[in-house]
Amino acid sequence: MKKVLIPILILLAAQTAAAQTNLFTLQYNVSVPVSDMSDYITAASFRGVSADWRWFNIRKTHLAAGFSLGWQVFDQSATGTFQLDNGAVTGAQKRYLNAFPMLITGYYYLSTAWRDPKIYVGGGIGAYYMLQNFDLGVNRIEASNWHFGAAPEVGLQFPMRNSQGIVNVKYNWVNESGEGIAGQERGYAYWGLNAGFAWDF
Amino acid sequence: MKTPEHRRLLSSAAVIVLLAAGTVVWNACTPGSGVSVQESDVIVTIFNENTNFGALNTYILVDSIVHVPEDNSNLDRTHDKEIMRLVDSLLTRRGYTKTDTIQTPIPDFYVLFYATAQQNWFLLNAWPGSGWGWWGWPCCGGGWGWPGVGATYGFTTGTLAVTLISPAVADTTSTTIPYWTGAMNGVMDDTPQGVEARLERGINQMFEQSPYLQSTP
Repeated sequence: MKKVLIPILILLAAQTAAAQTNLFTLQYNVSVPVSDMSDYITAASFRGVSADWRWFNIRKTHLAAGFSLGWQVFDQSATGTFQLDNGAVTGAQKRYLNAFPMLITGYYYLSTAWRDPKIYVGGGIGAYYMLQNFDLGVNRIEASNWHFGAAPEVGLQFPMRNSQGIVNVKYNWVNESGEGIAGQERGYAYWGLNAGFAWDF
Repeated sequence: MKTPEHRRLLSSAAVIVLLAAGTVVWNACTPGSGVSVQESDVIVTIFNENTNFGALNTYILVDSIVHVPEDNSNLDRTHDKEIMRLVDSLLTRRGYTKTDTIQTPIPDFYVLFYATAQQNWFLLNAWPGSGWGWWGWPCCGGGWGWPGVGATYGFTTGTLAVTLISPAVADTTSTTIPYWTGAMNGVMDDTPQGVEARLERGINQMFEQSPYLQSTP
């Protein structure tokens, strides 16, 4: 009986573990510029989305790894006159910044009980594609660059009826690189408050 | 027959697809980037930092606005006199004196006017996969699938420039840097009354953002 039961138990354990080793999340992101980025745009962005894929160790340790993709749109309008070194410009300004983070991620979960709420810490490291647009009247200046960046994160994952919920706070740091619209290397930084759903497969 | 697990997966997939599609529709790289005709106006002023505007006193106004190119079909002379009259009036208010002679005495600066305009056209292709855009309607033969569907739109933009420059500009062997230039750029597709009102607003703004433009005899 043991010769039959033990392999069956091993297979069941493996099957159960396999069913919980992948997590896909889709999150709505709200972000606030800080540091040098707020010299260009100060307004918070309510247009953001991100998707994560997390693989959990089949031994159900506290660790997970994966990747994350995101898209955040910052925009701000302004009117009035701004001074130059030897002149001035007046007109309707529209400032845009599109951030596309593409990160390899790693997380540590404080609990391994899958159906219990659990806090996690971790983050991602990788590339950010930043698209900067400045409109003055019908005139547009555009600059796009690839940057290296990192995003430490702390969050909470909790069970819901047919899925899981997830909320987290993330700090996006984007290294100086390339030429911005003013012709200088520019870095960015913004805080993110994110919430969404997670599905395990 | 779908099992509860299948139904859960399908409903989850449906939610994911709907959220993703909604995000793509809602997000855009430049939301709200459309501008009204009035919002299209941009006024730029540049001054030569080596100029002592207070020491300048007399000026002469040229008698016409130069169109660039000369036969620019997007321009007419409906507002020329009003433009020149307004600049003349604003300079007088700033303490400068107009003269009608270029000799004895030579005026301190000339006032020159330039105008240019161009049409801008844009094509919108709703099905770029066709490879032919709207030119291909109805598209080329079998194998291309969806024909191209698109629309065009265009508008005319114009620029007016006012330049204050030394009489030395008449010496074509040397390069003369203007004392001051005011320029206004915007969409011209407006009613004649609308264009006139915007020109008046723009020229007034040129002087408003140039407080240094003041004679002190």
